[in-house]
Amino acid sequence: MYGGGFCFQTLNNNKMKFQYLFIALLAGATFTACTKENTPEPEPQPELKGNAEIKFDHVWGPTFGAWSVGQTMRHPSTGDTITFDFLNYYITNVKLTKADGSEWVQPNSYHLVKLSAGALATLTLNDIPEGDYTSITYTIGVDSARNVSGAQEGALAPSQGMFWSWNTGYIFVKAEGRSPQAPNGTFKYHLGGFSGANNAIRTTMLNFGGGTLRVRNNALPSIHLFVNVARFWHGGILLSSLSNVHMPGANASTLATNFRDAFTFDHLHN
Amino acid sequence: MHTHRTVRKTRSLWWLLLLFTACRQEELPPPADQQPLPVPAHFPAPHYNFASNKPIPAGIALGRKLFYDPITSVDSSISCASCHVQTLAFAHNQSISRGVGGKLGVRNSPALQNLAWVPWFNADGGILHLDVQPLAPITDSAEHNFNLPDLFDRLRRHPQYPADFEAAFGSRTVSDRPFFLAMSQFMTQLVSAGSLYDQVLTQKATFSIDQAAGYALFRTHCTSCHSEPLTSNFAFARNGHQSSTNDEGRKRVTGDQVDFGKFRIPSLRNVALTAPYMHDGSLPTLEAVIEHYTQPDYPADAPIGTGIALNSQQKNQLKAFLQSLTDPAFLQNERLSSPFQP
Ligand code: HEC
Ligand code: HEC
Repeated sequence: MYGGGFCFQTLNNNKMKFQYLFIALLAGATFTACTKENTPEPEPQPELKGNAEIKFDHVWGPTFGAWSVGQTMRHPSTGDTITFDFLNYYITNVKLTKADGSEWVQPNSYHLVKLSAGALATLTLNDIPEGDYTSITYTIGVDSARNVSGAQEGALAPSQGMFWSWNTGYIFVKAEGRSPQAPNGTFKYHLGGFSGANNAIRTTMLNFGGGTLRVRNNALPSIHLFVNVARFWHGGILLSSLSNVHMPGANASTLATNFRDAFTFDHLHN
Repeated sequence: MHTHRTVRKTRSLWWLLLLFTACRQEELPPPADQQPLPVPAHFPAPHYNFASNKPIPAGIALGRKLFYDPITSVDSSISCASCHVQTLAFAHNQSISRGVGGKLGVRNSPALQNLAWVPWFNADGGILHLDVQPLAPITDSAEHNFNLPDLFDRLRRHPQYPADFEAAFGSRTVSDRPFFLAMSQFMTQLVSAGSLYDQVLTQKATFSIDQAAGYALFRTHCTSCHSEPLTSNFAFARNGHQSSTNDEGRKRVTGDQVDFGKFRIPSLRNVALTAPYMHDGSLPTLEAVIEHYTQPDYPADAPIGTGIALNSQQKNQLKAFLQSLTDPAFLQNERLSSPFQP
């Protein structure tokens, strides 16, 4: 899980899944027991499930140029010089949708992408019902309920360093690095805020451009997304005027919107 | 067969009865495996959700140990109890306390009491759940100056803590949830409800003439903010005390100018022991506080306005009442004191 330059963590939910499975099996068994004698039904087939990956390919600018953590870049529109030290963000409430509009909603869907080297992060989605999916929906951020429910585990654990200690709430996106244009030579964007005008929770739907993600029990298809990290400074934001964001507010909201729009669909790998 | 049935029936009836009585908050012998939730009969329902974290003796014991153990600071020099001293109602006698390396903090250490009734924490209300409150002192450079991953590593390698976690939560795993739940299990035990004031409220005692007069003054001038019986409604207000530390108060959290200079209304229980007073610890005595309310140095919310008129006899009466909020049993309760040998 910590291999390479990235890692991601998922809220562990195995126990619950087993309980549901057990209840489902029990219910199934009772049902079959009651109906067997009258109507000979075909053997109930357990729904087959498969896994899929989301590959986040972090790039630079509208031309999707090569970029990686630690690499010094020039911003295509503002001209600022920018080097990232790391980029962390929450991807939550993942949904896959089929052409007929039916959805698979991942239960307990909280993932933390931590990019401290390189440009690529991978996140695995488990136990998706087999099928052909045509779009993905996800949230960058953490739903308001989880912000105020005390200490969580896994991706949402305060020990991940993505929870404000003095002003309760998750840091949805944490981007830090250096820039000679910033007043003290560094930038720190800690973006969060789950209520009212300061809400920085952002949800996106990305179509697979007419293609289908084929989820099968014995395959591992992947969704490749571009993340244009230069997009933080979209709209002419200069590091000389905005290099530190440490609490919810207008700046965090603007940067959160910019970062949402950094994500575009690239291709599928079936 | 029949007898068995009857026994079972009676037993379930007994449980129903237990449940029913428990809801009415009457005194019951606690089930052997469970500490009673300390909800005094004359208090409102607690804010803390005990259903999601039911205190049990092993959990309370673990939280108590962690509260008193300097292992929670980077150089093992500071524990929670460094700034939250039981004999001072878990407050501190310094205007501003010092953390690791003598580094000065920014606010006065408040009393810790009746925390299960507090909806948000700190003078600016920035922390919205008791469970995540310890994160602030542990990571603050002027307090424990530490971080959770290293603290958890230290606890994992400790000869005793993994067993304590197992006793409390059924697993030796040291991680966020059991750590914070144990802290809350202990902190919710810090219940102060045994002052003379409480005994008067529950008709077990009566005030002296001065205390009674002071109580009447308190109800006239103070309870719109310091509401009974918790002596706070936990709202944010300007009480006319100008910050000596340029503290923005509630605005620090909301970023909203209308919140500038507002502070959370503190509980006044055990207030005779929690000097110095206010968020900056700049008023040394109760006399100074009462004097302040007659002549605020800063625009104050109603009903304080430009000052509450009190003659010297009334000031003494008000002080006598504030002293009746001291709860000696709480300050000496051995179940809340350090579990370590001095
Ligand atoms: C260096 C001194 C210091 C240490 C050590 C310290 N605290 Fe505090 N504590 C404070 C101060 C100061 C405040 C008020 C902060 C504010 O208002 O912003 C506070 C506030 C609190 C509150 C909120 C009380 C309320 O009514 O809002 C709780 C709970 C608390 N501390 C628990 C702890 C725990 C648990 C620890 C140990 C992990 C701890 N403290 C360690 C100084 C300290
Ligand atoms: C408008 C609301 C309001 C009213 C009315 C009010 N207070 Fe306060 N009180 C506050 C606030 C807010 C604070 C905290 C201010 C700070 O930290 O700077 C406070 C703090 C105090 C403190 C200091 C507690 C501590 O531990 O530091 C005392 C004592 C006190 N009040 C007593 C009184 C008395 C006695 C009265 C009536 C004469 C009164 N208050 C009326 C809002 C009020």
